[in-house]
Amino acid sequence: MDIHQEIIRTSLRRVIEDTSFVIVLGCLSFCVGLTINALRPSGLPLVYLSKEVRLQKIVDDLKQNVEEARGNLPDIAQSLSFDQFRARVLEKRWLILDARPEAFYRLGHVPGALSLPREDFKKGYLKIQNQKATAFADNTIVYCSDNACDDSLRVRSALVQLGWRHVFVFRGGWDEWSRAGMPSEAVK
Amino acid sequence: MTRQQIWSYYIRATRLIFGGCFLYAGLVKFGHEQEFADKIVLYQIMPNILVSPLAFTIPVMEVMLGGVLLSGWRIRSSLFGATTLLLIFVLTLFQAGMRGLVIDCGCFGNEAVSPSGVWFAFFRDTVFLAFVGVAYLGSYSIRKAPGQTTGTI
Repeated sequence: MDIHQEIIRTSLRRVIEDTSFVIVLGCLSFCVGLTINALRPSGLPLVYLSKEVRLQKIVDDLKQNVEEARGNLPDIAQSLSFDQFRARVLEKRWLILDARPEAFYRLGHVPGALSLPREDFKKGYLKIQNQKATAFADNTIVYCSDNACDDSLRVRSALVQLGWRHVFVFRGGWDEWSRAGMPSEAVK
Repeated sequence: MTRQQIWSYYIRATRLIFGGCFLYAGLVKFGHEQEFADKIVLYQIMPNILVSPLAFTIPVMEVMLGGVLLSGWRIRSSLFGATTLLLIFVLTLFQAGMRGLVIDCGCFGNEAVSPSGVWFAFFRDTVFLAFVGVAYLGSYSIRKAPGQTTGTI
Protein backbone atom coordinates (compact mmCIF):
# COMPACT_ATOMS: atom_id res chain seq x y z
CA MET A 1 0.00 0.00 0.00
CA ASP A 2 1.18 3.50 -0.80
CA ILE A 3 2.73 5.23 2.23
CA HIS A 4 0.71 8.41 1.60
CA GLN A 5 -2.53 6.49 1.64
CA GLU A 6 -1.49 4.84 4.88
CA ILE A 7 -0.73 8.25 6.48
CA ILE A 8 -4.07 9.68 5.32
CA ARG A 9 -5.94 6.65 6.60
CA THR A 10 -4.21 6.77 10.00
CA SER A 11 -4.78 10.52 10.34
CA LEU A 12 -8.43 10.14 9.42
CA ARG A 13 -8.87 7.37 11.98
CA ARG A 14 -7.27 9.55 14.65
CA VAL A 15 -9.46 12.55 13.81
CA ILE A 16 -12.57 10.34 14.03
CA GLU A 17 -11.34 8.97 17.37
CA ASP A 18 -10.68 12.47 18.71
CA THR A 19 -14.01 13.81 17.49
CA SER A 20 -15.82 10.86 19.05
CA PHE A 21 -13.99 11.54 22.30
CA VAL A 22 -15.15 15.17 22.30
CA ILE A 23 -18.73 14.18 21.48
CA VAL A 24 -18.77 11.58 24.27
CA LEU A 25 -17.22 14.09 26.68
CA GLY A 26 -19.85 16.68 25.73
CA CYS A 27 -22.75 14.24 26.20
CA LEU A 28 -21.34 13.01 29.50
CA SER A 29 -20.86 16.59 30.70
CA PHE A 30 -24.43 17.43 29.75
CA CYS A 31 -25.80 14.41 31.65
CA VAL A 32 -23.67 15.11 34.74
CA GLY A 33 -24.50 18.84 34.62
CA LEU A 34 -28.21 18.09 34.21
CA THR A 35 -28.16 15.69 37.17
CA ILE A 36 -26.29 18.13 39.43
CA ASN A 37 -28.65 20.91 38.38
CA ALA A 38 -31.72 18.77 39.11
CA LEU A 39 -30.42 17.77 42.54
CA ARG A 40 -29.52 21.32 43.53
CA PRO A 41 -32.36 23.20 45.31
CA SER A 42 -31.48 26.43 43.52
CA GLY A 43 -30.91 24.76 40.15
CA LEU A 44 -31.40 26.61 36.88
CA PRO A 45 -34.76 26.33 35.11
CA LEU A 46 -34.30 24.40 31.87
CA VAL A 47 -35.44 27.41 29.87
CA TYR A 48 -33.49 30.52 30.80
CA LEU A 49 -35.40 33.30 32.55
CA SER A 50 -34.08 36.82 32.15
CA LYS A 51 -33.17 38.94 35.19
CA GLU A 52 -36.37 40.99 34.74
CA VAL A 53 -38.58 37.90 34.68
CA ARG A 54 -36.80 36.44 37.73
CA LEU A 55 -37.30 39.70 39.66
CA GLN A 56 -40.97 39.83 38.71
CA LYS A 57 -41.40 36.26 39.93
CA ILE A 58 -39.85 37.17 43.28
CA VAL A 59 -42.13 40.19 43.59
CA ASP A 60 -45.17 38.05 42.74
CA ASP A 61 -44.15 35.44 45.32
CA LEU A 62 -43.73 38.15 47.95
CA LYS A 63 -47.10 39.64 47.08
CA GLN A 64 -48.71 36.22 47.35
CA ASN A 65 -47.02 35.63 50.73
CA VAL A 66 -48.22 39.00 51.98
CA GLU A 67 -51.75 38.27 50.78
CA GLU A 68 -51.68 34.83 52.40
CA ALA A 69 -50.39 36.37 55.60
CA ARG A 70 -53.11 39.01 55.45
CA GLY A 71 -55.71 36.30 54.98
CA ASN A 72 -54.44 34.39 58.01
CA LEU A 73 -54.02 37.30 60.38
CA PRO A 74 -57.67 37.80 61.41
CA ASP A 75 -57.92 34.16 62.48
CA ILE A 76 -54.89 34.38 64.74
CA ALA A 77 -53.29 37.53 66.12
CA GLN A 78 -55.70 40.11 64.68
CA SER A 79 -58.92 38.50 65.88
CA LEU A 80 -60.33 39.77 69.17
CA SER A 81 -62.33 37.86 71.75
CA PHE A 82 -65.61 39.21 73.15
CA ASP A 83 -63.94 40.50 76.34
CA GLN A 84 -61.15 42.22 74.41
CA PHE A 85 -63.71 43.78 72.11
CA ARG A 86 -65.91 44.97 74.96
CA ALA A 87 -62.90 46.54 76.74
CA ARG A 88 -61.93 48.44 73.64
CA VAL A 89 -65.47 49.63 73.00
CA LEU A 90 -65.62 50.99 76.53
CA GLU A 91 -62.26 52.75 76.09
CA LYS A 92 -63.90 54.80 73.34
CA ARG A 93 -60.53 55.45 71.73
CA TRP A 94 -60.90 52.83 69.00
CA LEU A 95 -62.59 53.18 65.69
CA ILE A 96 -65.33 50.54 65.52
CA LEU A 97 -66.65 49.73 62.08
CA ASP A 98 -69.82 47.86 61.25
CA ALA A 99 -69.43 45.93 57.98
CA ARG A 100 -73.07 44.85 57.73
CA PRO A 101 -75.46 46.45 55.23
CA GLU A 102 -76.46 49.95 56.33
CA ALA A 103 -80.10 48.92 56.98
CA PHE A 104 -78.98 46.56 59.78
CA TYR A 105 -76.64 49.21 61.12
CA ARG A 106 -79.57 51.61 61.37
CA LEU A 107 -81.61 49.09 63.34
CA GLY A 108 -78.92 48.63 65.93
CA HIS A 109 -75.13 48.68 66.29
CA VAL A 110 -72.35 48.74 68.86
CA PRO A 111 -72.19 52.14 70.62
CA GLY A 112 -69.91 54.54 68.78
CA ALA A 113 -69.57 52.28 65.71
CA LEU A 114 -69.57 53.74 62.22
CA SER A 115 -71.08 52.08 59.20
CA LEU A 116 -68.73 50.69 56.57
CA PRO A 117 -70.79 48.15 54.64
CA ARG A 118 -68.86 45.70 52.51
CA GLU A 119 -71.43 45.97 49.73
CA ASP A 120 -71.14 49.75 49.56
CA PHE A 121 -67.56 50.07 50.65
CA LYS A 122 -66.52 53.09 48.62
CA LYS A 123 -69.29 55.35 49.88
CA GLY A 124 -68.80 54.30 53.50
CA TYR A 125 -65.03 54.58 53.24
CA LEU A 126 -65.13 58.16 51.97
CA LYS A 127 -67.47 59.05 54.83
CA ILE A 128 -65.34 57.63 57.61
CA GLN A 129 -61.92 58.55 56.23
CA ASN A 130 -61.84 62.03 57.75
CA GLN A 131 -63.20 60.90 61.09
CA LYS A 132 -60.44 58.33 61.38
CA ALA A 133 -57.79 60.91 60.65
CA THR A 134 -59.08 63.43 63.18
CA ALA A 135 -60.83 61.65 66.01
CA PHE A 136 -59.24 58.24 66.42
CA ALA A 137 -55.92 56.63 67.12
CA ASP A 138 -54.44 54.25 64.58
CA ASN A 139 -56.49 51.28 65.90
CA THR A 140 -59.59 49.93 64.27
CA ILE A 141 -61.96 47.01 64.88
CA VAL A 142 -64.31 45.66 62.23
CA TYR A 143 -67.30 43.45 62.95
CA CYS A 144 -70.26 42.11 61.01
CA SER A 145 -73.23 39.93 61.94
CA ASP A 146 -71.69 36.73 63.40
CA ASN A 147 -69.00 34.05 63.14
CA ALA A 148 -70.35 32.77 59.85
CA CYS A 149 -70.03 36.22 58.28
CA ASP A 150 -66.81 37.03 56.41
CA ASP A 151 -67.58 40.64 55.55
CA SER A 152 -65.51 41.90 58.50
CA LEU A 153 -62.50 40.01 57.12
CA ARG A 154 -63.06 41.38 53.63
CA VAL A 155 -63.42 44.93 54.87
CA ARG A 156 -60.33 44.53 57.03
CA SER A 157 -58.36 43.18 54.07
CA ALA A 158 -59.46 46.14 51.95
CA LEU A 159 -58.45 48.62 54.64
CA VAL A 160 -55.03 47.01 55.03
CA GLN A 161 -54.52 47.23 51.28
CA LEU A 162 -55.41 50.91 51.51
CA GLY A 163 -52.61 51.41 54.01
CA TRP A 164 -54.47 51.18 57.31
CA ARG A 165 -52.50 49.65 60.15
CA HIS A 166 -53.60 47.81 63.31
CA VAL A 167 -56.95 46.72 61.95
CA PHE A 168 -58.55 44.02 64.10
CA VAL A 169 -61.63 41.87 63.65
CA PHE A 170 -64.28 40.85 66.14
CA ARG A 171 -65.61 37.57 64.73
CA GLY A 172 -68.47 37.21 67.23
CA GLY A 173 -70.05 40.26 65.63
CA TRP A 174 -73.40 41.90 66.39
CA ASP A 175 -74.94 38.54 67.28
CA GLU A 176 -72.57 37.84 70.19
CA TRP A 177 -72.66 41.47 71.33
CA SER A 178 -76.45 41.70 71.46
CA ARG A 179 -76.93 38.21 72.99
CA ALA A 180 -74.65 39.26 75.87
CA GLY A 181 -77.12 42.07 76.63
CA MET A 182 -74.62 44.80 75.83
CA PRO A 183 -75.83 48.35 75.08
CA SER A 184 -76.60 49.35 71.54
CA GLU A 185 -77.40 52.39 69.46
CA ALA A 186 -79.81 52.84 66.59
CA VAL A 187 -80.27 55.46 63.90
CA LYS A 188 -83.70 57.01 63.95
CA MET B 1 17.69 15.67 23.07
CA THR B 2 15.72 14.16 20.22
CA ARG B 3 12.86 15.83 18.41
CA GLN B 4 10.45 13.32 19.92
CA GLN B 5 11.65 14.18 23.43
CA ILE B 6 11.18 17.91 22.81
CA TRP B 7 7.63 17.29 21.64
CA SER B 8 7.03 15.05 24.61
CA TYR B 9 8.16 17.71 27.10
CA TYR B 10 6.21 20.43 25.31
CA ILE B 11 3.03 18.37 25.29
CA ARG B 12 3.48 17.41 28.94
CA ALA B 13 3.97 21.04 29.98
CA THR B 14 1.01 22.18 27.85
CA ARG B 15 -1.40 19.57 29.16
CA LEU B 16 -0.41 20.23 32.79
CA ILE B 17 -0.71 24.02 32.49
CA PHE B 18 -3.92 24.05 30.47
CA GLY B 19 -5.37 21.09 32.36
CA GLY B 20 -5.00 23.22 35.49
CA CYS B 21 -6.52 26.22 33.70
CA PHE B 22 -9.57 24.24 32.56
CA LEU B 23 -10.01 22.69 35.97
CA TYR B 24 -9.88 26.11 37.64
CA ALA B 25 -12.20 27.70 35.06
CA GLY B 26 -14.77 24.94 35.58
CA LEU B 27 -14.57 24.91 39.38
CA VAL B 28 -15.05 28.68 39.78
CA LYS B 29 -18.29 28.41 37.81
CA PHE B 30 -19.74 25.65 39.99
CA GLY B 31 -22.57 26.99 42.12
CA HIS B 32 -22.71 30.15 39.99
CA GLU B 33 -24.56 28.70 37.01
CA GLN B 34 -27.18 31.45 37.10
CA GLU B 35 -24.51 34.16 36.82
CA PHE B 36 -22.83 32.19 34.06
CA ALA B 37 -26.14 31.87 32.21
CA ASP B 38 -26.61 35.64 32.49
CA LYS B 39 -23.18 36.10 30.91
CA ILE B 40 -23.91 33.67 28.07
CA VAL B 41 -27.03 35.70 27.25
CA LEU B 42 -24.94 38.86 26.92
CA TYR B 43 -23.12 37.35 23.93
CA GLN B 44 -26.47 37.48 22.10
CA ILE B 45 -25.87 34.41 19.97
CA MET B 46 -27.76 31.70 21.84
CA PRO B 47 -31.51 31.12 21.80
CA ASN B 48 -33.01 31.13 25.32
CA ILE B 49 -33.66 27.41 25.21
CA LEU B 50 -29.93 26.61 24.93
CA VAL B 51 -28.67 29.02 27.58
CA SER B 52 -29.43 26.95 30.68
CA PRO B 53 -28.14 23.65 29.23
CA LEU B 54 -24.90 25.39 28.23
CA ALA B 55 -24.58 27.05 31.63
CA PHE B 56 -24.61 23.74 33.48
CA THR B 57 -22.73 21.73 30.81
CA ILE B 58 -19.69 23.94 30.12
CA PRO B 59 -18.36 24.00 33.73
CA VAL B 60 -18.63 20.20 33.98
CA MET B 61 -16.97 19.80 30.59
CA GLU B 62 -14.11 22.08 31.61
CA VAL B 63 -13.56 20.16 34.84
CA MET B 64 -13.66 16.80 33.05
CA LEU B 65 -11.36 17.99 30.30
CA GLY B 66 -8.99 19.49 32.86
CA GLY B 67 -8.99 16.22 34.79
CA VAL B 68 -8.31 14.17 31.66
CA LEU B 69 -5.49 16.49 30.57
CA LEU B 70 -3.86 16.34 34.00
CA SER B 71 -4.26 12.58 34.31
CA GLY B 72 -2.48 11.90 31.02
CA TRP B 73 -5.21 9.57 29.75
CA ARG B 74 -5.93 9.87 26.01
CA ILE B 75 -3.67 12.87 25.64
CA ARG B 76 -4.17 13.40 21.92
CA SER B 77 -7.94 13.28 22.18
CA SER B 78 -8.02 15.52 25.24
CA LEU B 79 -5.77 18.04 23.48
CA PHE B 80 -8.20 17.94 20.56
CA GLY B 81 -11.06 18.58 23.00
CA ALA B 82 -9.20 21.52 24.52
CA THR B 83 -8.42 22.91 21.06
CA THR B 84 -12.05 22.62 20.00
CA LEU B 85 -13.34 24.28 23.15
CA LEU B 86 -10.81 27.11 22.91
CA LEU B 87 -11.61 27.60 19.23
CA ILE B 88 -15.30 28.02 20.11
CA PHE B 89 -14.41 30.49 22.86
CA VAL B 90 -12.15 32.48 20.54
CA LEU B 91 -14.78 32.71 17.81
CA THR B 92 -17.43 33.72 20.33
CA LEU B 93 -15.20 36.43 21.78
CA PHE B 94 -14.24 37.63 18.31
CA GLN B 95 -17.86 38.18 17.25
CA ALA B 96 -18.55 39.95 20.58
CA GLY B 97 -15.54 42.23 20.04
CA MET B 98 -16.52 42.99 16.47
CA ARG B 99 -20.04 43.93 17.54
CA GLY B 100 -18.65 46.23 20.23
CA LEU B 101 -20.28 44.38 23.15
CA VAL B 102 -19.03 45.60 26.52
CA ILE B 103 -19.40 42.44 28.59
CA ASP B 104 -17.65 40.27 31.11
CA CYS B 105 -16.02 37.33 29.34
CA GLY B 106 -17.17 34.94 32.08
CA CYS B 107 -14.23 32.65 31.32
CA PHE B 108 -12.83 32.56 34.86
CA GLY B 109 -15.79 33.63 36.98
CA ASN B 110 -16.25 37.36 37.49
CA GLU B 111 -13.86 39.51 35.52
CA ALA B 112 -13.63 43.24 34.97
CA VAL B 113 -16.15 44.68 32.54
CA SER B 114 -14.49 47.19 30.24
CA PRO B 115 -14.58 48.04 26.54
CA SER B 116 -11.21 46.32 26.12
CA GLY B 117 -12.21 43.33 28.27
CA VAL B 118 -13.56 41.24 25.42
CA TRP B 119 -10.53 41.87 23.21
CA PHE B 120 -8.19 41.08 26.10
CA ALA B 121 -10.00 37.77 26.63
CA PHE B 122 -9.92 37.14 22.88
CA PHE B 123 -6.14 37.59 22.67
CA ARG B 124 -5.56 35.56 25.82
CA ASP B 125 -7.65 32.67 24.50
CA THR B 126 -5.96 32.95 21.10
CA VAL B 127 -2.57 32.48 22.78
CA PHE B 128 -3.98 29.51 24.71
CA LEU B 129 -5.38 28.11 21.48
CA ALA B 130 -2.02 28.46 19.76
CA PHE B 131 -0.20 26.56 22.51
CA VAL B 132 -2.81 23.79 22.76
CA GLY B 133 -3.27 23.56 18.99
CA VAL B 134 0.45 23.16 18.44
CA ALA B 135 0.56 20.50 21.16
CA TYR B 136 -2.29 18.65 19.45
CA LEU B 137 -0.58 18.73 16.07
CA GLY B 138 2.68 17.74 17.73
CA SER B 139 1.00 14.76 19.32
CA TYR B 140 0.77 13.18 15.85
CA SER B 141 4.54 13.01 15.65
CA ILE B 142 4.94 11.02 18.86
CA ARG B 143 4.75 7.27 18.81
CA LYS B 144 3.47 5.27 21.72
CA ALA B 145 6.15 3.18 23.39
CA PRO B 146 5.43 -0.54 23.61
CA GLY B 147 3.33 -1.36 26.66
CA GLN B 148 2.64 2.28 27.55
CA THR B 149 -1.01 3.25 28.17
CA THR B 150 -0.68 6.67 29.76
CA GLY B 151 1.78 9.51 29.80
CA THR B 152 2.25 9.62 26.05
CA ILE B 153 -0.02 9.64 23.06
